[in-house]
Parts: sequence; structure tokens; C-alpha cells
Amino acid sequence: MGHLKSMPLPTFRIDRALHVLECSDSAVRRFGNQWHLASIVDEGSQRKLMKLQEQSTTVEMALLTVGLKPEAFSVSIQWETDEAYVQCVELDRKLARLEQMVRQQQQRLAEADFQLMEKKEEAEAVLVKMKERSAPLIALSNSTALIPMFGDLDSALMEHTKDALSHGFYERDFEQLYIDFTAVDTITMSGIEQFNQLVDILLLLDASIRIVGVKPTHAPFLKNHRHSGLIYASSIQIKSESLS
Amino acid sequence: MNTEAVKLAHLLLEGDADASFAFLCDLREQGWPSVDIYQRIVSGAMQHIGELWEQDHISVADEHLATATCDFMISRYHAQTKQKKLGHKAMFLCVAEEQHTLGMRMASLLFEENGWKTKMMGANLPLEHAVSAAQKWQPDVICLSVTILYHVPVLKMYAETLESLPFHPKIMVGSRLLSMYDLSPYCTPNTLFMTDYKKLIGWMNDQSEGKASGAS
Ligand code: B12
Repeated sequence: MGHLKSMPLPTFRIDRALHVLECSDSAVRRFGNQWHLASIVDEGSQRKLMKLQEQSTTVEMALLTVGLKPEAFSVSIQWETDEAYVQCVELDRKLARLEQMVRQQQQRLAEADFQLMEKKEEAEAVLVKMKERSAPLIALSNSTALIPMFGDLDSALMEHTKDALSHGFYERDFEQLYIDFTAVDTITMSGIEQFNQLVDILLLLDASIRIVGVKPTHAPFLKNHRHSGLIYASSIQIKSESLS
Repeated sequence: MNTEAVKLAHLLLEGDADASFAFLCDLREQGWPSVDIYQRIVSGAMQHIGELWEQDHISVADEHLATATCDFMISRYHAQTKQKKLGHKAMFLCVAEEQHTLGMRMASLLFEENGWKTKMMGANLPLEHAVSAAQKWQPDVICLSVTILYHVPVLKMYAETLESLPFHPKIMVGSRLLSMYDLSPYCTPNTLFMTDYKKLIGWMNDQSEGKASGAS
């Protein structure tokens, strides 16, 4: 058994009762001087020790290294009648490092994802605010109001302003309304459809509506979706007596 | 072990990031609060994985994959939860040599969900680092986590040193060992012990109602 002492991997020779009969120097360095195999096996690995006692096999175990540090080993045992050799191979820590790096990478991607999501939500909120402010209701006099429209006349613009506009017009008791298209860029189908819905509501509220500032690029759109209750005017005229 | 936890354990062992995340989302849609999801389902799944390893059904490599998948899953889940902001601060760390981080990770996510600011200092944190980080950030609570029995003795040094910092942080210890051992000899008389997340939520609710925080 002269070879056993100089085995590079921690090696034990044991009996059926798991008493240590002999061990390698490497085993002493790793686990200290032990007389029973069970004393280096962590509590969570005791069940596997029973398996080792019964058959020649290889299992992963947590073993207590010097200083009572539990570490994972792959433990192989070979029985020859009533004695066995046990060899312990430390589980590769490189794998754990790789694992950790993959995890960090994954985490970073996830965080970037979350941040993008947050930014997207912020951007959407800003867009809503912008749209809300792209069609303000301005009083020109006690009875006359102006809605200058900015940007694209699309469904987003109308969705975010329609209700507030009809509400404001009703609350403040206006009669006449100018809607100024000078700063409108493009007009979309769904935008003009919803615009006409707004006009319907305003007409129900007895508004007399004039559209001003129509550009040649708007004309085809307005023509195809012309609302019968609308008057197109070239300029804004306010009755002098009603000036506030 | 409940069947949901066992189901999740298998998804985690397969490394199925999407299915495991979807699994948690389904539970939430069924009305499960985060505290129960973390306690009964995720902790339960990880415990089940521990049992499978004890029975030699899986390897440490499987455990690593499951942990990485779990970590990622709870981050994604947490990103979808609503967080109210209050402003108390809690810092988290594992004592020297301790690598088991999932328990305190989920605790930190619950703190965040309840409006706390958190700082995760991670596994195996030397006491000097803990001290300097705490002095800089001045948390109201410092949470220590210990999983391996042999790491308990160093707890005392951590608890005493951190508690005696000039801004008097509260020390909280979370550990699976609390259900088996009395860790009070290894801490300070004022240390709070948290066996599970239900208890943590109870404590946080008491805090926000301004009740005394002494009882553990
Ligand atoms: C996953 C795992 C690992 C992962 C950990 C990865 C990570 N980043 O966390 C890896 C693979 C790295 C690992 C390594 C090891 N592990 Co390990 N591991 C586990 C396992 C299977 C699950 C742990 C877990 O995540 N549980 C889920 C969490 C949520 O539960 P928890 O941490 O207990 O937390 C709960 C409470 O304690 C509390 N809590 C905890 N912390 C905090 C903090 C705060 C603030 C609060 C409020 C609450 C709180 O809240 C939770 C509520 O449920 C356990 C089995 C088990 N039964 O625990 C073994 C286990 C803990 N490991 C064990 C061992 C032996 C090891 C290793 C030595 C060998 C190995 N298997 O590789 C190494 C040692 C590493 C080291 N030095 O720390 C043993 C420990 C035995 C002992 N003597 O104490 C166990 C019990 C397995 C066993 N049966 O043998 N392990």
C-alpha cells in the first residue's frame, strides 16, 4: 500500500464500518487527520454516505475541509470484499465561474431590457403630454374661442384632446369657434374621422365652427371627408363688441 | 412540498427561463401576492432541488443552472411589480464565505415592493467592506444572511460591529437555520430574526404604521 500515501488526489482506504485504515498525505492536507469517514461528510450528504457504504459508485458530496469549510467533491469508491478505496475530486470551480459570468451577462441584458421598457413608458407619457398640448382651447373673447392645431392631425392627437376640447367649449359657454390648421402637418384618415366626431359634438353644443389656415396639402383630405356643418374661412374675425 | 413548487423546480432544472417566468406570472394572475410566490413557490422549489441533490438525483451543475435560471426569473418577475416609494433604506449581504444569495435577494425585492430603497452587497462580503459601504450609504436596516451552519460563528462579529456604527442601523438576520437553531447567542440583543417572508412583511407593515420595531 506504499503508493497510497503519495496519491495526488485525497485517497482513503476504509473498512465496512467506514473507519479510515490509511490515507494519503493529500487527504490529510485537505481534511486533517481523520479516523472515520463520516466525520468529514456534511450533514446534507450523510444519506449519500450510506449509498457509498453499500456499493462501488461515484457520488457528489459536500465534504468538510480543514477549518470546517464544506466544499463539493465527486467521491468515488471501489469495494474489494471488506475494504474499499475512496478518492475525492474537487468539483471544478471553473464551471462555477463560467456560470457566474453567464448569469451576470444575463442580468445585465435583463436590466438593459427593463431600462428600455421604462424609457419607452416615459417616452409614451411625454408623447401623450405633447399631444394634449397640441390642440389647446384659447379664448379670443367671451363668446369666441380658437383651437390652433399643431403637428399631425392623427388619431393620437384627437384621442388625447377630443374630450377636453368639447368639455372646455361647453363649460365656458362659447358660441363661435375657429379651428386653425396653419400648423397642421399631415392629416390621417383616422385622424380626420375622429376630428369629424369632435365637430359633431360641438355642433350639438350649438357651436358655429370655422376652419382657417387650410393648406393645399390638407385640401384633398378635407374635401373627401368634408363635414357639412363646417365653414371654411380665410381669416379670423372677432365681433368687436364681444371683445373681452 | 406543494405541487406548484415541484413543478417550478423542474422548469428551473431544465433552465427554462421563459416557462419558469410565465409560471410565476400565471400565479400572479390567479391572485397570488409576491410574498406567497417567493415563500411557498420559489423557496419551496429551491428546497426541493436541495432534496433532489441529497438523494443523488441531480448534480451540483444542475443546481447551478437552476439557481441562475431562478435568479433571472425573479428579476423579470420583480420588474413587473408595482413599487411605491417611501424612502427607508435597507442593505443586504452574506457573511464571509457564504455563497447562498437567493434568500436575501427575494427579501430585497419584497423590501423594494414595499417602498424601500435597497443596496445588494452580494455573497461572501468581508466585514470591512460591509462597514465602509454602510457608512457611506447609511441604511436604516442592514440585513445579514447565513445558510451554512459553519458560517454562523462569524455572525456575532458582523452584528456587533455593524450595529455599533454611529447612525445605529437595525440589524436583521435571515436564515434557513433559524427554524432549527437558536442564533441569538451569535447576534446582539436587538437583532431581528426573520425565518420567512410572511414575517418580514408583517414587520414592514408595523414599520410603516410607526409601531415599535424591537420585537423579533
Ligand atoms: C441553490 C443552492 C446552492 C447554490 C447557491 C447559489 C446562490 N447564489 O444562492 C450553489 C450551487 C452555489 C450552492 C453551493 C453550495 N452549497 Co448549497 N444549496 C442550495 C440549495 C439547493 C437551495 C438554497 C436556496 O436558494 N434556497 C431558497 C432560499 C430562498 O431559501 P433560504 O436561503 O433558506 O432563505 C429563506 C430563509 O432562510 C429566509 N432568508 C434567507 N436570507 C434572508 C435574508 C433576509 C433579509 C430575510 C428577511 C430572510 C432571509 O428567507 C427565505 C424564506 O424561504 C440548498 C438546499 C436547501 N435546503 O436550502 C443547498 C444547501 C444550502 N447547500 C449546501 C451545501 C453543502 C453547499 C456547498 C458546500 C456544496 C455544493 N452543493 O456545491 C456549496 C457551498 C457554497 C458556500 N460556500 O456558501 C447545504 C448546506 C449544508 C450545511 N452544512 O449547512 C444545503 C442545505 C444542501 C444540502 N442538503 O446539503 N448551493
